Amino acid sequence: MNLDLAIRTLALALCLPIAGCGGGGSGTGDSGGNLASRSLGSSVPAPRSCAGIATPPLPDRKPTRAEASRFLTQATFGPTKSEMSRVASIGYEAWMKRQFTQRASSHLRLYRARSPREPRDPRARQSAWWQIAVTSRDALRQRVAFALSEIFVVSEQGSGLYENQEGLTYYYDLLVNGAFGSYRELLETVTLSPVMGSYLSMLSNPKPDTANGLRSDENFAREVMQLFSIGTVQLNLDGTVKRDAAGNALPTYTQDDIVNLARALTGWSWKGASDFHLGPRSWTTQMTAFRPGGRIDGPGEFHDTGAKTLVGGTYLPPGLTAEQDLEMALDALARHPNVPPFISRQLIQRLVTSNPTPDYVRRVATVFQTSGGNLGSTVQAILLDPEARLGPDYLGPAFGKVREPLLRMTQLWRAFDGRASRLRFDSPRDVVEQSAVSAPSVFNFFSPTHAPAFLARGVAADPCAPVAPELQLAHESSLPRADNLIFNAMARHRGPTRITDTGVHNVRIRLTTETRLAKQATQDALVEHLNVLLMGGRMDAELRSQVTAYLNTLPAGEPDRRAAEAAYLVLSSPQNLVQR
Amino acid sequence: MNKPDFSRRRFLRCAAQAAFATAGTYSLLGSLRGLGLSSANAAPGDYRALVCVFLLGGNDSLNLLVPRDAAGYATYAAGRRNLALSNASLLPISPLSGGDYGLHPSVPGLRDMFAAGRLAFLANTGTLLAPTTKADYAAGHNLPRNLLSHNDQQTQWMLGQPDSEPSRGGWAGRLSDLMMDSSADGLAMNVSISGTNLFQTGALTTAYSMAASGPVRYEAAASSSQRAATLAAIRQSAVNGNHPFAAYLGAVARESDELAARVGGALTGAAPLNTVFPASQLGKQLLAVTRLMQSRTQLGAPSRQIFFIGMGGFDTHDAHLAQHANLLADLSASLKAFDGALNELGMGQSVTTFTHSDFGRTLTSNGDGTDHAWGSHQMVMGGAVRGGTIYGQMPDLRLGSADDLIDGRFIPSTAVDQYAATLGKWLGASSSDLNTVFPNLNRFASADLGFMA
Repeated sequence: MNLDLAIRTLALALCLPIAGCGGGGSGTGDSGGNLASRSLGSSVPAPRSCAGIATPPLPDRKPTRAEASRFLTQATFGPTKSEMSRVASIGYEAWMKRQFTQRASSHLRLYRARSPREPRDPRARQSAWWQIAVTSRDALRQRVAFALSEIFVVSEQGSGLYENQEGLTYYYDLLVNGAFGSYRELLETVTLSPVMGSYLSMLSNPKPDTANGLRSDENFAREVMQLFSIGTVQLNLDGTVKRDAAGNALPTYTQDDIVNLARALTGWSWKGASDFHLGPRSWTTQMTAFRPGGRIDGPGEFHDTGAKTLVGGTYLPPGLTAEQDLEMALDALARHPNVPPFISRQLIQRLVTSNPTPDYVRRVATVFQTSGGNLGSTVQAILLDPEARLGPDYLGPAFGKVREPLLRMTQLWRAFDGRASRLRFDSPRDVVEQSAVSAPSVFNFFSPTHAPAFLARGVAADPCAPVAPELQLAHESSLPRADNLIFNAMARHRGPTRITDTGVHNVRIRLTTETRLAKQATQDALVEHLNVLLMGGRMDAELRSQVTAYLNTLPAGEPDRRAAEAAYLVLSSPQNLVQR
Repeated sequence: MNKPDFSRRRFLRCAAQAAFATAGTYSLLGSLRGLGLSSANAAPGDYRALVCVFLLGGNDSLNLLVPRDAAGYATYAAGRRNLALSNASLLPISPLSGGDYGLHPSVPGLRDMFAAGRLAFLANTGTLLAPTTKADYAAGHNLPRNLLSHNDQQTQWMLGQPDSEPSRGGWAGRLSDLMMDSSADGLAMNVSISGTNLFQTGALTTAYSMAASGPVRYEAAASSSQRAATLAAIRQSAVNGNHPFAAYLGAVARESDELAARVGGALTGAAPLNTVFPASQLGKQLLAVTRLMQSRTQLGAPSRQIFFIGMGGFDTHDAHLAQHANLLADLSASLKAFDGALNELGMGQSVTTFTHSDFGRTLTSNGDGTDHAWGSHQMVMGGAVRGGTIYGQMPDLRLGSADDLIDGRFIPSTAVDQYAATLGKWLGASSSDLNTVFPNLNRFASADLGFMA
């Protein structure tokens, strides 16, 4: 059994008392168990290996409400009171089974309901996203779709796509509809969407023009390998990096592979285009291979029909059509052994924990593989894994992930029945600096390898050094902005949410249960309710007493204020910002 | 004035101390010391700052700095094809280093500063592990990992040592580890106007992050002292608690809350500037940097600082000519305004602005854009820069030349390590500091490229 990661991370967390410069008080951790900081600290070994850790079995019983809340934090945009009751009543698997058959909510439908015939209304897209994230019944599908949107990244930023909000909405629905389907199919769907085609310039990408010294555009060919399928280095099934005898990571592909893949994917344009470059454009239908003069067979003049050799040695013989080349190329990527761990690990990181143990990754990647790359089965394996369900209990502080700003807001609005009138769920994006499909680049809002330097603790070459990708979004200006949004939503809940510097005017929340509990003689029941609803039961005694003490300073005759302030304090706490 | 222990850098230092004390794997601690640079007592004149403008996505520097002589231009145009700028459109410059070059027509501000000796180019710079030839590349000898990949190459530029690990921190962060008196009160040595970045993250210290619009206050704390006390206590519990992510978040929140009023007050109190900045994102960010520098005494800023600004959009795979022209126009106008504002404040000699970028772009065209390459030209600007010239070696732009890997992707002839070390030396890092931060430095011909006075 290898507890090194837990030990290292725990030792780090306890370092302030050790170093004697914490500035008062020692931690009263909720999961440190009987591990004493000093003995741990002195026994921290050299860099841990990537070996796994024995996994305890899942208890054979219905989940508690707190456990249901934890589960929904991973599986949805945040627990609602009714979903929490449902999971506690029917169990995880039955809940997931219902979710798998739940009809997919369409962003495009809501978009068009709000902005008929308007292709460029960013508020309509955001409104649809919030409406669905906060209120839709297909909560698992929508959460997975958001995770996929952080893997198959397109963005309204840094591209011409801001003008094509309807197209972005259509693209997002492709992820929603593909969230439980086959990875291979989703890869093709994404590849042939005009939004992705525009974002990474595979749309209207012609074969090389040697006479004029022009190459094919390599943008999509590179990023589809680096980000959407196999990554830059060879992986074992458990997600660890394969290395040569000298310890160097083995690269997955070469520049030559990129050039060949780019050529294989030439010749695609807008559906029904009469001009390869100009269209006419249609953002809500998939691209098709361009056939000049309406020819329906034979290679188009913009597709490179020469032979190509792709990553892993796949040979595309000369004379194939654009469709044939694309099928074979995407097959070659999808069957690459990197795909199961590469995609599984990222989905785990987006839903459950930043630093999954290699065993966890291997278990999920195995399901990915044996299910033929079925994303629904993969998600089920991720959420039902003992590490997801019991991680904090046996991994301690090594388990968990930081909530992205967007997920802080969905947590609030879902927990307290956020409702917007007339489809006007206005986006708080200017405040929280994050909104769906608006990353600064195809590398998403944060790097999957981001780690504040203190986390890595100078262990330079540790292949399993802990990461905290979402912490990249947590800095001195982003944290108070998100906090102000939450404060305004909570502390002034009696009216609509009022924000001083943005337009979130239409979301109402309800604190009925909380206000009722706040009328009790002590505030313990209220705080415990929030502990379960917001923190999945993982609030430590110190936070509990701090919140309670503050509530006791507020007038007993104002239970609605007590309820709102209690909710704000819990939502705002750094402890709650870490999803565990 | 004694303020409570609030700084995140203190927190990080403690974390690191504990780590080193227990794991014993890394002994930077031994070399940790202040240089007596801590803020309050520094003479107002003794101030130096570096400002990094990171051109995210990979700037096409081949269309920024173009040979104008007949043979040079013909070679450029033969490779560039339909993306070649016309010779007549280029803004001519006459570098002291010789040759006949022109700048992109969108950068009159840069041309003016070059002519005034306030701006220099550093030719064909990039990530290198050692001087590298085409044969080395063919043999896979001594190559940085994942060349041509955005995030890897951004990371390696920020590290200032391509084979280092992100866990060791970026070069500004590591300089700060060595140079900053981490017990000092006040603003950090590193300040970011573009959020968290590896460049400024050290093993012991990290950056203070401020939005271009200024610091943001916690409304919940501002509206009730009782609530503020509770929030502070909750944060402190997180800092002392057992989850490192929550501890980090608590420490950042604490620093944010405690510095917001002070920074906001100092910025509000600063005298208005006559210089007008462009309304672009970059213009606003450079204005924010100017205001912070202007307020440095009130802020208790250390006398050596490094600022970071990211400018996005340079990944011009398509619509290249139009997009790139817009980007460069903004860059030129914003940098010109920044230079003007610094001169207005009498700080022209004290501040050096420089560019970094993921990589250069292919000389060849993909039809309406360019793809990822390697070496690229960078710019250094300021009164302390020996400007008006081109440092380093311009690449041989002939396709298939000894400098060309393939399709006009040029092997850098100057390493980012040399470039950064030259800047670090000007900032005041000792040669032993520089060798600590840039351990590969001695593999290259010169640790000082000579562009700083």
